[in-house]
Amino acid sequence: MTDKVTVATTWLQGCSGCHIAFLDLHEELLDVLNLIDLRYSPIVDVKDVPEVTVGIVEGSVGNEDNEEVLRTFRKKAKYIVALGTCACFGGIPGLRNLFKLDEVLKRGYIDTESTMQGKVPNNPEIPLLKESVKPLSQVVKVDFSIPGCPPLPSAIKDALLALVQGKAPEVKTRNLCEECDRKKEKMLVASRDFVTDAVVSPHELERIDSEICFLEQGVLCMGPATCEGCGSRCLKGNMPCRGCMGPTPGALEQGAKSINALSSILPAGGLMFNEDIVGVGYRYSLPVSIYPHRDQKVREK
Amino acid sequence: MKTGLFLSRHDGAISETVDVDLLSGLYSNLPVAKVYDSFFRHKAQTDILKTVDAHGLDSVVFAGNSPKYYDMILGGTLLLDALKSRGINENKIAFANIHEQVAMSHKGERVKATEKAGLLIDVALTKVEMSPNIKSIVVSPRRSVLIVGTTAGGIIAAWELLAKGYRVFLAERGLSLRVPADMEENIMPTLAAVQSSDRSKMFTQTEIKDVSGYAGQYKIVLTTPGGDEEILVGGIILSLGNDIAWVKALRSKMRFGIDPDGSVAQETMFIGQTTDPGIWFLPSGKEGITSLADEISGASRAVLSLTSLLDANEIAHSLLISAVDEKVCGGCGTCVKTCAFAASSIDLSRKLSVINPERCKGCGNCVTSCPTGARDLVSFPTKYISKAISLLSRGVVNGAEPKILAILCKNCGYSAADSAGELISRTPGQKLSLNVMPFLLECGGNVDTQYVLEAFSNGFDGVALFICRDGHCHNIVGNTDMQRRLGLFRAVLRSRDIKDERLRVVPLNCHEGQVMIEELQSMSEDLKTLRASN
Repeated sequence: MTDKVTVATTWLQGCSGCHIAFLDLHEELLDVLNLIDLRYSPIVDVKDVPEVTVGIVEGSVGNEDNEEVLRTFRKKAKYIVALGTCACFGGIPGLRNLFKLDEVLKRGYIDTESTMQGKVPNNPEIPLLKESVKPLSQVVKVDFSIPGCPPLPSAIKDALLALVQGKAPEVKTRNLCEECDRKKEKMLVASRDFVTDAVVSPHELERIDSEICFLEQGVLCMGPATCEGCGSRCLKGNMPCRGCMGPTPGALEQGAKSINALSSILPAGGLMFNEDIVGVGYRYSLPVSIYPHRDQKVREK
Repeated sequence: MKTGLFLSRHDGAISETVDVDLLSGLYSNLPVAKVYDSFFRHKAQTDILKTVDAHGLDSVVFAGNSPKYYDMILGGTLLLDALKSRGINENKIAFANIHEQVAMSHKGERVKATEKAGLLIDVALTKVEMSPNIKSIVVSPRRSVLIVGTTAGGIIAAWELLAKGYRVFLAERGLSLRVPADMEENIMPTLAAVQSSDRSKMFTQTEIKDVSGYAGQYKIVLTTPGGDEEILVGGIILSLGNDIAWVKALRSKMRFGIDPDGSVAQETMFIGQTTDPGIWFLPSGKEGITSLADEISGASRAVLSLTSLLDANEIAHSLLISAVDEKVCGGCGTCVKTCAFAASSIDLSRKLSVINPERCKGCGNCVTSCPTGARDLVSFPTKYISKAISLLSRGVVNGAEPKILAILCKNCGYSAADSAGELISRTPGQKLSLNVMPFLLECGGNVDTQYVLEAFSNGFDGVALFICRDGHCHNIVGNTDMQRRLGLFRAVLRSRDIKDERLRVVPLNCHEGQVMIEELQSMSEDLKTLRASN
């Protein structure tokens, strides 16, 4: 056992989907487990985090418990791997950064339609929510990232195999169009006309063409503003990209960049009425965006 | 990196408000920080050049007059030429406009004005530090010229060019000449002489279909009654008279600015010079240009300037857009859809964007639209812009005065700010807040919504964008594309509880300083109200 690389995994504010993606390696999981020694994990019954070489963390930091676990992992693991979009960019839980904490609590515990006479709990046993949701890198130093909601099982395997061999996992940096096989025609014509007259949701199309670029069908696709590395699986499943792999390293933030780009491609008027622009551009990356919290008051310097 | 900082008192016009001597002391970490009465006198220029040589400077910041001013007087043009001929890259010369933007705008507020001038100098120093050298392509110029429009001046120019041994093409949209009756007697023999030359060719009922290339080497496709014809020339002379419709039609083919009346605009001190060194225009049709003598002098000016350019053995053409970053570009095609000059295309085999330097005008619209950040505008790199916004966000007055980032497009926006400064300096009662921070960008199309977010997150209360009016953008679509982006972007701002009042877009003409002053004042008031209501 001594020559195996020791690994610990945990989940913070996430859905456990990234751990499921790990299990989705199926029989290939056996190859991986031959090379690593999984010392600690939600699926292993061990109380204290041991010293390990690789600490894999799923989920974002949304409450005080998340932060404590993450800091413990940072102390015990030589390398921290951020697993999945929440850990890398804040992900879906990060959307709550659109609201103030008291609004979130009120909505969750009092205003919910199914709640009668609710109140915000005040129990020291329950970890307090933090003012905003953060990706791991805003709390501790992160060595490697495997984005994706969830990440490709093969990406998890490749990253672990690289770490076992003492190498840094490969990082993909180009945008998703590079991986997407759909045909583009109008997108490549040097003309200032929009590629469609109207913006539609996939279900509004009579037939979703599985071979033509979604933008050319008038469907909002985040592929151009999204990093590759997912194998364009949604597009292969005939659905547009929603941007879970986060921005490319050349962009300052995904939302603003997608707006800059989309307004050259699709009719802006249609975009404004058809879709929730924030939900589109910032669905997975709000906490790493430039202006993350609406409560941020103008600073007096 | 060895940067020299030169400050100008502008014979007291700057130094009465800005303490330039104090400032020069603050930059003692630089190899040189020197103060002059004016940059434009022979003695000062000799000293500046001597200093550059003595210290082996590779970059220079001029804190003084507006950079527009250097194009408008010979002393300015000559100084910059002398620096470039010493091997200082054009991107390593930056300006802090402490005259129009500070001294003229903030008379009587010496301490704060000096502080603001310091911030503008910091931004200029950052610019030379963070901007890469602009690379250029060297071409051998062709000794041939296309004259667009058969005005009297155009025909005279053709004749002069033939006399200098040039090859000449004349293209006319209509059937007949654009020569007034009182000039016909003089012009018809000239035309006959032009037409009899075997080095001339005249096309009537002909449209300019496409122009690519740059000064020295243009490729032009003409649509003639007999079909398309391709011609190769070194330069272009526009002699369109008062045919505003034709001026408008040509603007998407070649780059030149227009005046408020829609005619071709003069961009420097030389009559007939546009921003493209290979394209000159004749002032026929402009106010006061009516006589044959005017036509001749306009034609001679353009011919002299153009031939002195094309007679050189080589011309350098600056490449203003960086190469595509192959590590992030995935070939999505957004840049292809954005470019108004058809300069972008996708190499499908490698799924990479490719820029055609013969078409690129360096406007930066594709840099903004690119969703990956795969390319950069060499003269305004993204990293520099981020840094500059954070520097300017310091502001100079704490408390009540809202901090406004005033983004100025290189053409109308910047000139209007200069005119605002002049207006304030000579009109008692006119005022501009010290916390308005002017910031130059290439074009409205260069305004990335990311920059607006950065400005807010750095603590700016407001962002005001000053761009050309509709139909006046030098890059055709920069102003309208910016408006399109901001339309969508406002939805994002609202979702983050950022009030609409914090972002203002003002289209204006070059001389509308008054509009700028009023807009900034009312924005300041709006922001104060907004702050009070929070």
